[in-house]
Amino acid sequence: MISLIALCAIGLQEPSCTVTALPAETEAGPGKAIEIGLRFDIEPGWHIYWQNPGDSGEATQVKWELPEGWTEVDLRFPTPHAIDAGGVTNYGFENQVTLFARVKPPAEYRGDPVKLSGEATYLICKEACVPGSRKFTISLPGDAMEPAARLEAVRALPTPYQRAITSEYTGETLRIAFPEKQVSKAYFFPHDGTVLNHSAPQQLNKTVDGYELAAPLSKFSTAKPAKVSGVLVLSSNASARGYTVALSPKGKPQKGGKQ
Amino acid sequence: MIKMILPIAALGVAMATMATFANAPVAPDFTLPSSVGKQVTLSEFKGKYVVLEWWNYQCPFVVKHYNSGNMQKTQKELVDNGVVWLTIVSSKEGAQGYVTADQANEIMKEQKGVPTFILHDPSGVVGKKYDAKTTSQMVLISPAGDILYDGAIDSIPSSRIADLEKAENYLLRAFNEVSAGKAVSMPKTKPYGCNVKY
Repeated sequence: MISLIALCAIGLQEPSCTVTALPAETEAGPGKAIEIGLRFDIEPGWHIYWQNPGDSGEATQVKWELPEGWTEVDLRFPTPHAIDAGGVTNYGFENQVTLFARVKPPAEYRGDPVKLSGEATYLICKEACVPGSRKFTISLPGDAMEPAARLEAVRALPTPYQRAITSEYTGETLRIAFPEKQVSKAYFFPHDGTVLNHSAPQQLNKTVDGYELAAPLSKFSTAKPAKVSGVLVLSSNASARGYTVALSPKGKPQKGGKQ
Repeated sequence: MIKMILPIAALGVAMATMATFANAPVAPDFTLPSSVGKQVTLSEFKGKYVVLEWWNYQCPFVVKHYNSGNMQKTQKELVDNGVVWLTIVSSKEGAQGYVTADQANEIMKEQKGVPTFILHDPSGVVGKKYDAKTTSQMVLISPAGDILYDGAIDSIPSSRIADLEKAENYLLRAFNEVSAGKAVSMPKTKPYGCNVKY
């Protein structure tokens, strides 16, 4: 059985937006998490948001209605893009994006037919924003993503950064040092929207050991969290790769605070 | 949930405010036309608390606060306590949220909102003076003219009405704190919503 493809038809400018939900693989093992690919096809010129939407907007989310014993594991986003929206910076996706949601069956699940229902909620914006939600149902066992499409979608996900990375708060900046040999551009997308100033450019400097990226802190928050996670995008020549990083920046909070 | 606010004598609070908020930034003065024709200047309200609300009636986040009655309730609570409420539209002409005076009055009346004035800022000059980034960004100004609070209206940055139940209204929290003679615990938070359409 094929999953449900839901069509948008909202008020205002009615941008088109479809959500296609399919399991990533046909096999489901007992107690093993199942990956569901949620492909959003977005009207050109419009965008939806990453888990940290940036200066405005709202994160794309998935709410599940799972059978007894099933649990949600997580929702993973591909590496986002910075989108300039009328003077503010948003983090999101245009044209097409596949999110991966994981759910876990109970330990005794042996592949019996089951229906998994959910609802994707999002804000789709151009100059104006329109909220949307799409319900979907996945029937297991059943059709899965085309292997080639799945591979491409998985490649868009950030992977854990393997090299040593250090970071520090100095003044009103978060400095991230990483040991790469050749990088032409770098940008850090924080998961938490209150840490950085999303509209301020991040400065990349070559160092003896590699590179250092200086990201200005948010004007709204005086807190300098002990842990900052996010996606570090490194570009060299024509290609860019996204890496998930978990930072524990050194550096004391500024004297006197900001207010 | 909207907490009840005790009525306070404006002068007494003004004294407490001046003592507690020596470091609060001064609210930039401005003059804007209102939807009822009168030119409105911020400094004419010295001696009273003033709220600035950035408004775009079509923004899904603003729709959440008005369709649920949350914004109107917040307006009423504060206005009933002598606060001057200025709803500001900084959308440029032709952009989402832009309204003529008649449209502004009609929409606000339909939604039963009770701001003291709706002000037109289509050139965005005042919005930019205050670095207004989103609708609904909220600013609370003391009777002495200092910014006590600037940021999100509440703690859950979503466009869903269901989230209002669990959200804490940051504007009311700040007002309650100053009314009790306390310092504002969170003077600045990240505003959420649609970007202001300059």
